[in-house]
Amino acid sequence: MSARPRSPILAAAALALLLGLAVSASSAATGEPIQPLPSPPEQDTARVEIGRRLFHDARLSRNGRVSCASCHDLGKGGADGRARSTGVHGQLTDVNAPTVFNAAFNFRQFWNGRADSLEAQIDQVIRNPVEMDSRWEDVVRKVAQDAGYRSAFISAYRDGVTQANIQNAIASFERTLVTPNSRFDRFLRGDANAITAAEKVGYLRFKQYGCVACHQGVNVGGNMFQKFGVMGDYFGQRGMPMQADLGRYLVTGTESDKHVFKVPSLRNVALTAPYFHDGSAKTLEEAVDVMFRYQLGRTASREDKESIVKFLHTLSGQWEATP
Amino acid sequence: MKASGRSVWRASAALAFVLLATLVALYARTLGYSESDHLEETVLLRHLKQVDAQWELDVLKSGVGMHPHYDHLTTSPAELGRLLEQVEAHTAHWAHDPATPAAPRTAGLREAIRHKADLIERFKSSHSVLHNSLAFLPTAAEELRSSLGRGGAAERRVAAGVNHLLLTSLLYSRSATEVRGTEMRTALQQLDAQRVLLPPDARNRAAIFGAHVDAILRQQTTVDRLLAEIAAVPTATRIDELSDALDAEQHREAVRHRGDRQYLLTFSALLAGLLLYSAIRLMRSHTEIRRVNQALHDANEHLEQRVQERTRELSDANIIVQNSPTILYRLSGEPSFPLIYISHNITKFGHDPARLLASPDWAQVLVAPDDQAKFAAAMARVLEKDAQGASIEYRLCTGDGARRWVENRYVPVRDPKGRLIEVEGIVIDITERKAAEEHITRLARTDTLTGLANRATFTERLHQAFAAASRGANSFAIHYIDLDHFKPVNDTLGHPVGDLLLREVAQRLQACTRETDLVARLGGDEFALLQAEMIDTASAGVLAGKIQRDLAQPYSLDGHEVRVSASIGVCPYVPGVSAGPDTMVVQADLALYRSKEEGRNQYRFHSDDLDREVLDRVTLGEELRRAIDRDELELYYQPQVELASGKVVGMEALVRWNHPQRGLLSAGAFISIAERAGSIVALGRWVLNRACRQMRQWRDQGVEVPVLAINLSLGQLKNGSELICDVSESIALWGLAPSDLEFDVTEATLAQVTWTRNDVLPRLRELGVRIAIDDFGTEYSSFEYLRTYRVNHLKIAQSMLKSAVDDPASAATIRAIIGLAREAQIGIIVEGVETQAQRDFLQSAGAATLAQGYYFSEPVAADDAGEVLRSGTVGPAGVPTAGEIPAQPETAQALP
Repeated sequence: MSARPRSPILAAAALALLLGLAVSASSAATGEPIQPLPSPPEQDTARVEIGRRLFHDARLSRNGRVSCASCHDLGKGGADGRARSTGVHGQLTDVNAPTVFNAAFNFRQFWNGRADSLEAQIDQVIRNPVEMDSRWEDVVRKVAQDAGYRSAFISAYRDGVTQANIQNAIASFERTLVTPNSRFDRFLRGDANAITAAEKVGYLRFKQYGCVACHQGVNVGGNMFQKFGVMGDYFGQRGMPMQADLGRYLVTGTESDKHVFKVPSLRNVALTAPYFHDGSAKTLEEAVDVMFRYQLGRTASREDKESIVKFLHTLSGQWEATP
Repeated sequence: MKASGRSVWRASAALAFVLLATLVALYARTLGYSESDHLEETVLLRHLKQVDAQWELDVLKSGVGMHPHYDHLTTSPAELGRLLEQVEAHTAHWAHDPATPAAPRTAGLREAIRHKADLIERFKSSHSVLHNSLAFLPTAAEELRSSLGRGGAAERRVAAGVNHLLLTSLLYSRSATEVRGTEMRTALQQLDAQRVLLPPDARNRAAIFGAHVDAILRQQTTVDRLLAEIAAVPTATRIDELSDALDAEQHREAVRHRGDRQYLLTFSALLAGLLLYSAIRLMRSHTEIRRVNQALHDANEHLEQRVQERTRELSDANIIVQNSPTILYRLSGEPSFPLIYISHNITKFGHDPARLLASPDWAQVLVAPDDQAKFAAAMARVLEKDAQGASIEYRLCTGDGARRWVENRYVPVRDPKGRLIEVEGIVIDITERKAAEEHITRLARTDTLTGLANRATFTERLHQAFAAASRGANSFAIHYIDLDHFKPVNDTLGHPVGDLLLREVAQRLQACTRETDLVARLGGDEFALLQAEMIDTASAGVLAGKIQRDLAQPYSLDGHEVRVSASIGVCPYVPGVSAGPDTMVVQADLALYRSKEEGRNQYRFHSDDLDREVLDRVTLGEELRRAIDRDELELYYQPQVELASGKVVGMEALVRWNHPQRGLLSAGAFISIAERAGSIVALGRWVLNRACRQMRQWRDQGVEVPVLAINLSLGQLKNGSELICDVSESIALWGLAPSDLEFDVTEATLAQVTWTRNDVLPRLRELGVRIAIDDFGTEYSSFEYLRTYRVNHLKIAQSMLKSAVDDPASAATIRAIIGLAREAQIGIIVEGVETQAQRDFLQSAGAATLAQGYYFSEPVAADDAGEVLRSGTVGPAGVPTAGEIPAQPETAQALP
């Protein structure tokens, strides 16, 4: 019997048992806090095909230089690998481009959750002066002038090329961009050998340290908001304040929403560096360090953090189609 | 003559056109009316309400850790939005009608849902942080403490402060009182001030610890506030308002619709009269007739055709329904329910509508013999004055003798005085759906892991049981069973052992139940039980109690001994009260939630009233009253010893009941019953007197008994003056000193007497007897009690000690309590010491602690106790060793 704690959460769970507190991970009916990705809802294939073309079509932007895929490269984990992306006029975007993969499973879109649906997200990017800087009447006109689009739209939609149909087509395509069958999902579905012993330890640490309090559910995040710096002043210590740092405050104007962001999904996280809305963490290790310091407010051994990074690598899934 | 004839003709023509236009307008109005609309709206609103209730329940469940993720909470608002849109689509045509206030009400509901969603988002953010800080705090305290080492005065002060803050923080999370919050803030400021004196590493750790205490303070308050605000959002009220508005509107439309039909008849008659009049006029003037005839003939033909068509269609109620697969019908509201209309498409089922209308007993023709009784019962219910629309499923006989499954939804139409005028309804063919359902259930009836029934089977049987019970069959109950803390088993021993545990639980559940009951696994560690033929509500309580006890027995799985308990939510079917199988499921779920919320390892009904009713009736109250007279009670004694030497320093008196049928019962089995049955004072008096008498006997035999511990229950404390009298009298009667007696009061009891400002403990203290707090650490652990009541001992609960050997955090908590008690100069007695390892741990914790437990001695009868006292010490040599401990060691809690 040792006086030093061997594992903090086990200890906490036991204490919770003792004092009858409901603080620990009690599984109740549905078991694990992370759930495997469900299969995506069936999409109309004709609309998906139109969406695929539009997604890669730079004509959506004002001067034809930027397409959705410019910042959401399906070959680069659905993002662009840069801290902040370059928009239509060469200016930098406000925040880091999040991955488009599994975005359909996020409860809101954008870092500050200002869009309720993929359709609404598309609308805001098209009209954003830094990103695509387009007007819908121009987009509709350009698409309608293309004979291929025109006939495809007419057979897929009753009213042909319209703003709503363009949004719907792109969103339909995006709803197919899911990455099931990650090794971790296979583990959750009962294949005990899908992840290694070291990765299992990583998952245990992920739960024990409390990462899972926010990064949970089917998307390992993407279903709630949280303040960045809830246990420490991240922005004060990072310096160089930007407007985008205000997060949800920009949407609601409520004081307590300052620095509050959507908790990002950790699926495919190993493929989507750099991290955070400001792209400040270049590696997963750095990101995990920041999370420990400002979100969990606690320290951990190098070994435990490495375990967690190993676990995060098991969240990379497969995308069936070709970009 | 000619001029006047022409003007009459013009007037007639104008009148004819006016009548025609009116007919067309009336027809258009009736097209907009559909009986099935209202049914769908009602179903939608009911669904809306259910989703809303489930959403709120999910929030509560997240709050107590019953949901391991928040996905539940994000799907409900989307679902509510979708349902609301459907409601709005149904009510869109009223939006232009200023007399209908439904439109603004949907806006109000939408706003309420949005507001609630916003609050729930904030709840999630706060709850996740709170959850982490609470989980981490014991470790943070332990890390800080070990970094302090054996430092100087500053370090010791910090260590004491940390102990205190750790406990108050954990208590704050159970009950966030203002006083406790202030206490924590003061302690935090002190810690902050003392921190600067520490070495750098300790200073750092103190800062981390402080930050988490601060987080608990802030987030617990926020979470509590948000939960209150969420509960206060009036979504349910808004839905009810909407429902009322829809009912009113439906009634208005139905009345208007009947009016329209009368107008149509009147106008048709007028038109016919006009035509007759015109014909007579025309016969009088041939030339005029010729001129006008053509036009009039055209109009006449057109009108006649229209009138016939429309009149028939209108009396057939609705052409849209006519062409849909749905069959519409109307019954006259007399008890024999003559059929007054049925859609023409009943021909699709091989019946002739005209013959059905003529048939005096149409139900005999249409409803399959097996379902006649069900159908007749449903029709009988319609006659009840406050009967609502409803739906039944039965097999319909087609003209060629085949059977089709149909769903029949119907609404009684009443006049404003509530008299039944008609019954209107629709019949939908659900044969394919039924077949698909049966197919699916055949494919998947059982749970593969445990071999129990699965959720689908359970739901199906529940629906059957509900239908049977509403027809007058036996009542039944559903039990929702959820294992407490199953997850740590999975996490520490692995999924294979977790699976073994689930299988063993399944077996025990089946062993508890009869063949007619149904046990199902709903998923994860959630089970359900359908208790068939429930005699009364109390018997559901008895069964739930049995399940709870059986599941709490230790499990031996693959070489590991595992202990888990179960929380159970019970919902009995109550005739005339239970609304439906789905509602019962929600209530069982709510009951389960209550059971978790109120401390797990127990069963609860969905309401307090039911809980109490069952407890009161389940049991032994009456028998216990007689037991005292019949001398069925007996006192056992358990030695209290010095941990290090095994020297006996006291005896705790424990009451047993040699129940004629149930065998030897320990106090835990009947004390609460005695409390409720009002026999607790008599029982307590018996125990006090018998214990004192025993002490006298021992003394007379020359056996020294240092202290005799006696448990006091809440009921005794409530009758404070009587208790004081009894104690003084017993002491005097048996020639004892007050300090010979120590009274044990559990924390739970203490919390209640504190709340009611009961002053009996200080008065007992004034008598000179000693006071100990029993089961310390299991309930509200407040250090205020220690000061207020100047207690002599804290008794640390067995459950705390049990995990301390394996788990550093529990060990830390016990050390914290010991440290605090030492500061306050209060003795410690550790209950339930069973093994050498536990004894070693307690010795290493460094206190001059007293102990009792199987390691030293089990409770023994008076004669054996005398022997123990004579020998002066007791220890593992003379009692069962750790390996021989009986499988179900008895705890010494709550025994008077």
